[in-house]
Amino acid sequence: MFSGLQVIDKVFETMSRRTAQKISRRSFVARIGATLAGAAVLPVLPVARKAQAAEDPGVEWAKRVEAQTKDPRACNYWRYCSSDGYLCSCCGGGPATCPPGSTPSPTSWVGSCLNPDDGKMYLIAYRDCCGKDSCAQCGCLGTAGEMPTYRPQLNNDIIWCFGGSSMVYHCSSAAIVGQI
Amino acid sequence: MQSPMASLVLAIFFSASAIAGPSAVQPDDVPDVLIREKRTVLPRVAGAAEDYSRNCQGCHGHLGVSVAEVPALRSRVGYFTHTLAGRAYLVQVPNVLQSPLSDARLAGLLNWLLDEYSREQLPPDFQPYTADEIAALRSTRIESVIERRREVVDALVRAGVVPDASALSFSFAPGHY
Repeated sequence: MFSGLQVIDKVFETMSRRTAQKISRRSFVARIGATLAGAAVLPVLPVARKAQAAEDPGVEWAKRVEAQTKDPRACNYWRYCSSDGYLCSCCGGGPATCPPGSTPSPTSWVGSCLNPDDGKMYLIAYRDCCGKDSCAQCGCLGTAGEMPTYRPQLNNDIIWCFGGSSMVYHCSSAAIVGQI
Repeated sequence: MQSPMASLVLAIFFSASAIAGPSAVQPDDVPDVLIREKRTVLPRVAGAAEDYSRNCQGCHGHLGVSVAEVPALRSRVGYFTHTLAGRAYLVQVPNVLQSPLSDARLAGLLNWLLDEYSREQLPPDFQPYTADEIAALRSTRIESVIERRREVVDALVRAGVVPDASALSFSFAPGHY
């Protein structure tokens, strides 16, 4: 009679012997090598890089709203991940240009959004257009990376017309500042 | 039409040459079609330059100059490092003191912006900020920032660093809006 431990020992011995007979040591080393090299290459691939950046609120927003790059008159246009207000694109301007009669605020806050076309993050300046009554078209609310009002530099509930000639808010624009 | 290889070479060239910080070319309103179809690569913003973009640029401007209400950094901010009080002021000014950035990143950011915007105004023996210095300075809060700024600027005038206070003035106009 075998004891329990001896049975286990026997089973593993048989398994190892069979394995040793079937595969060569060289193929084992080759596989380990391939696995290690693969592990080193994987994080370089765009998919892996995106996965690492998954914590970013801009990335989270882009996934949730299915961000797109073709219609700046829709709330899910990629640059609006932190935009809170009326889209200048719906008010006679563009995503980064003010409608006639309004002027861009000299001050803004800077956030970052994911461009779904190239999978890269871009810094976006949220610059309000000021000096004309509220446009009241295409109200959108993006809050990626926004901070509470006690961190006003990174808050979009306040009107960003500081330093301009008028504090009257018209619409929100979103200009690309650079790629990060 | 560019070949894909030519685009790639251009992309590598531009991304390698553009890591330095704010560039003269402002991407501003780049049509998305350029990124999508021409694979246009914009200047990369990284490290202290990215911290500046995210935390300072909105008001101080990408060139370190903005509206009259926001003190200009360009060709100015370096003067403050000529005195210990001025050096402390740059760290204790409320939006630097209360920044969410760590002491080490703040040190990197201040050193970067002094070099980027005001190299000419630095003293010849300028010592970069260290994380420890930032930590020590951050433990002291300024009671009245306008008053402290005046004291610091007056001392800089007395020391002959700047000819007069107007060299470092800005328009502080409460109730302007």
